Parts: sequence; C-alpha cells; structure tokens
Amino acid sequence: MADTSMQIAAPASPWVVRVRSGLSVARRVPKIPTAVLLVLMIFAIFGQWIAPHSPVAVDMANSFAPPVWHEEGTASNLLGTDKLGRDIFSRLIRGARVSLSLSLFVIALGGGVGVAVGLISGYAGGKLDAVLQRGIEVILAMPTILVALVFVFAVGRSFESVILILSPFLAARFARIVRGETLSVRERDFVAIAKVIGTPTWMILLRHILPNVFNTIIVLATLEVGHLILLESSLSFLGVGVPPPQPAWGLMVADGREFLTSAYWITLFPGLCILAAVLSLNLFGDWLRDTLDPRRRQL
Amino acid sequence: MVKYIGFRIFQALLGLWFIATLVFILSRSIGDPAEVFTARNSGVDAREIMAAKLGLDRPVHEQYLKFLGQLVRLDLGDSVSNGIPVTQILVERMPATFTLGLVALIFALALSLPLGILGAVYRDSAIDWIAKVLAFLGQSMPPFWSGIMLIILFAVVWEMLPPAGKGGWQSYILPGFTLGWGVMAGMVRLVRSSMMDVLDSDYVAMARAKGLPEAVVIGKHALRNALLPVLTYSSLVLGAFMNGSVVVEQVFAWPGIGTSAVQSVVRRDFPVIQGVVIVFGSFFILINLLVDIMYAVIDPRIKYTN
Repeated sequence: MADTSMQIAAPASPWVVRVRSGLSVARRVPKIPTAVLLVLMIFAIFGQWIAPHSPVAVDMANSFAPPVWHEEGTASNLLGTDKLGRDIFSRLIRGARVSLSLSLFVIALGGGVGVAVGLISGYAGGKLDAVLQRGIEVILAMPTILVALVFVFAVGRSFESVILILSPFLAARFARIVRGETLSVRERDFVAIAKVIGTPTWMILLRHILPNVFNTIIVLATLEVGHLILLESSLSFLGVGVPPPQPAWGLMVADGREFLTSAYWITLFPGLCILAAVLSLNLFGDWLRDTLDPRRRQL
Repeated sequence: MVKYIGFRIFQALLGLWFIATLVFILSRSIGDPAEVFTARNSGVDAREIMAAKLGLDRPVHEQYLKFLGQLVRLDLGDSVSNGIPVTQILVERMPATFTLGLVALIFALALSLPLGILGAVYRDSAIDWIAKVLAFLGQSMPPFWSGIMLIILFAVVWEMLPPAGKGGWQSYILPGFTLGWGVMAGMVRLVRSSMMDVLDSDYVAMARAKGLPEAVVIGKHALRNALLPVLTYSSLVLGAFMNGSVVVEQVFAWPGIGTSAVQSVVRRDFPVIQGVVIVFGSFFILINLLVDIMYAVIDPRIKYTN
C-alpha cells in the first residue's frame, strides 16, 4: 500500500502524493475494457475519417460480399457487406456514434434531471420527498420497452423520440440512488454548519452535498451507459429505434435475420459490438465502483 | 402493518391510473383519434363510426371518464386489423407468455443456485470464475442477438432443437434459456453474496464448531437462510421477463403477448398496443405490490411507521 510507505518516508509535498496516487490508480485500470472503450470512442468521434466506405452507400452489384477471410472476400470490405452492398465495417463504426451519442444525451438529460430531483427530494424530506418518491416508484414500475414502443408509435420514429422516452426511466433510477446518498450526507456536520451561517439552500446543495455524492453519480452513469446501449439496440431491433438508413447496431442485427444461414456476418458483428461495448462498460464501471465508491458493492 | 398494506394498495391503484391516463393522453394527442383507432386505409365511413363510438364529439373529460369506465369493465375495444375484442386476444395469448416466463425462471434458478453457492463456498476457484463469466455475459449480451446465435448453433448447425415457434417441450428450451440468461446474472451475484454473508455468520461457525459435516452446515444451516432474498428477487424477475419477452418472443416467433405488441405496431393497431401496455403495466404493479406485502408479513424486523 502506498499509505504505509508514506509514513516511513519523509513527508512528500501534497502534489507529489497526488501524482503518485494518481499513477497507482492508473496502473490498476482494467486494461482490455478501457482499450475497447477507447477504440469505440475514437470510432464515434473520428469515424468518418476511419471508415473505408460511406455507411449508407448502396452498391447492389456487391451485395452479400463475405468477410475478408472467406475465399471470395476482399480487403475492401473487411467484414463483408449486407443485402444492399453496404460495408458492414463502416456501418459498425457509424453505429458506435449512434449508440454512444444517444446514450450520452440520455445520461445528460435524464441523469441531470434525476440528480436534481434526488438532491431536492433527499434534502427537503417531508411531503415533497414523499410525492417525488411515489412518482419515481410509478415510473420504475413501468415496463420500459413496451412504453417506449407505444411512445415511438405515437410520436414517430426519430433519434430525439428515443432520447425523450428513455430519459424519464433513467432519471428515476438516478433520483432514487442520489436521494439515498443525500439523506446520509444531509446529516453531516458541515451541512449543519453551513445552514447555521445562513448559506442559501441551493448553495448547500451545489457546494456541500453534490460533491459528496459525485462519485456515486459517476459510477452509476458508467453502468447506465451500458444498460442504455442494450435498451437502444433492443428498440432498434424491434423497429422503433433510430430510423434507417442510420446504422444502429440493433437494426443491423435485425437486417441480417433473414439471411442467417447464407450471410451470418450481417448479424454476427453488430451483436459482437454491442456485447463488447456493454461488457467493457460493466467491467469498467465495476472497477470504478470498487475504486471510488466501495460502499456500494451491490449497485 | 395493515395501514402500510392499505397504503401500498392505494399506491398500486395510483400507478394503474397513471398508466391508463398516459395511454389515454397519447391516443388523443397524436392527430385525429378516429384515425388512430381505425385501420390505415379505412374510408371516411369507418372513421365516422369510430368517432361516434369513441364519443369524440363529447368534451374531453367525458371521453376520459368513459375510457376509464370501459377499462374497469375490462373492455379494451376491438382490434382494427381483424375486429376481434382486444381482451380476447390477450387472454388467448397470455398462457404462452406465462409458460415461457416460468421456463425462463426455472433455467435461471437451476443455473444460478449451484453456481452461486459453489462460488461462495469455493471463493476464487475455477467454478467461481465460470459463474462470473456466465453472469457478465448474460448481463452484457443483447437477448435478441444471443437468441439468434443460439438458433444458428442448435437449430441450424447441429439441428438439435426447433428454431422457432411453440410446439413440444423442445421448443421451450432456446427461448426459455435466452430469456433466463439475462436475469441469471443478477441472481448468481445475489446467491453468492447472500451465501457468503451467511457463511460468515456466528451460527454457521457454531455449527462447524459442533463438528457437523460441511455438507450439513452448507445444505441445512447456510442455504436456508441464504435463499430468502433469492426468493424475493425471483418474484421481481417476473417483471423483468415481461420486458424481455417482447424481444425474445419476436426472435423465436413465440405466439405470446409480446409478439402481438410488436405486430400491432407494424399494423398500426392502436387498441391492441394500448391493451398490452395496460395489461403488462397492471401485472408489473401487481407483482411489486405482492412482493411488498409478502415482505411486510414475513419479515418482522421491518417496521412500517410514518
């Protein structure tokens, strides 16, 4: 442990300690999940310069081309093409952007609202807390996929409508956990002192309580991105997610279903992408939780 | 406790009302409701008949009360694609969804109990790792994709099991496993951690000190106490199955409620979707209610005072 060696050695200046502990945390980062997530992020951000083809360019003459390791495969279409001759690899790269950006929007919107509701509910207590909690329980008791199915049916299929319908469910999950944390932070001495010297409530929430629940929020957000990617791909698979020709991974799996025996690659690779992304996020989130927030092992 | 149970029932009714109202608002806010409730290419006549039937010339609050009144009498309207009452469609399809959920629960328990127990007893052993890997995979794999991959392996390549549809007992294996795998992850973790808590307890140490054989200590003293949270979780899992069944039924062409929900989206058959959401939502709320009541009755440590 770094702590014991610190006690024996001459006291180091604070920034040295900080750099050392930062380095020792960085060394323990789970390597494979972090690498997978970095690659996906690079795909999502710089995809248009990496992808060999346009993800939506149709080339009927080149439909159902197999991956490069098959005899008829070519290096031009590394992972083969689909029934319209679109390049699977390029579509996967664009799919990373669709999945990640959608999840981040939902985290920002739903997570932001959820954190605010959780802070207020936990800090205020009393009737306001009771009302907010009942509302959250109702949302958590609804079957997500079905409600999303109806909603998208009603307002039409678009990137925005998927964000709008997934956000309340995420907000409810965030609010419940942030409220629980707020309840315990609220009782600490520094909050009582801040109250005594007349700090306005909003400032107590932002300066004293939020920083103390921040680790929990970060861990929860990481784990929820994985959950959201699964939900989004399920909706895409059912035909109520991001509309075509945008290449969402779930939609690509659905596209390949008719050709399972003749062209397995259309279905196999997008599924592997979802698996790799969600698995890495879960492993990374677990590690983050153990590092930042060891009390919440059950999260 | 009676007060608490009464409050929970009130809360459940509130949830039901909320879902019904949400469906009502959605159905009335998306363009002309007469068009929403009729088939896509129906003529002016059909729309006028539907408008009269829905009472669209009446004020909104009267329409709303009429809608709630019909719900209470379990009248969910007729399907616009084949004219069959929605209640009848749902009652016909309910058993398929329910048995699939039951099979999935059996799969999940049959896998997670031994893996979780052995993982807790032999910590960090090979079996503990296998359990972890299976759990992480189940948690991270999209069920629609793992279902398809299982079809390729077991139905197409090895030709051991039917690829889709509901038939003999063999047809339950693939969809049941696909649905169960997703919740197995949480269950393994729960069995393992609650078993570890119990194994560290004083009464297990006492049983060991008495010189009882290890099998008796684990099987009789530890397991019984570790199973309580698992049983509670199992009942909550039924709710997760309803979410999953929409996707899994679609993959395996299973003739259940989930499939009819997706089909009706494709056909723009609003009364059926509305019915499915109300039925699934009610079921979800009912399960949560029963679990909470069960908790209050079984566990005397929990005190419910406001």
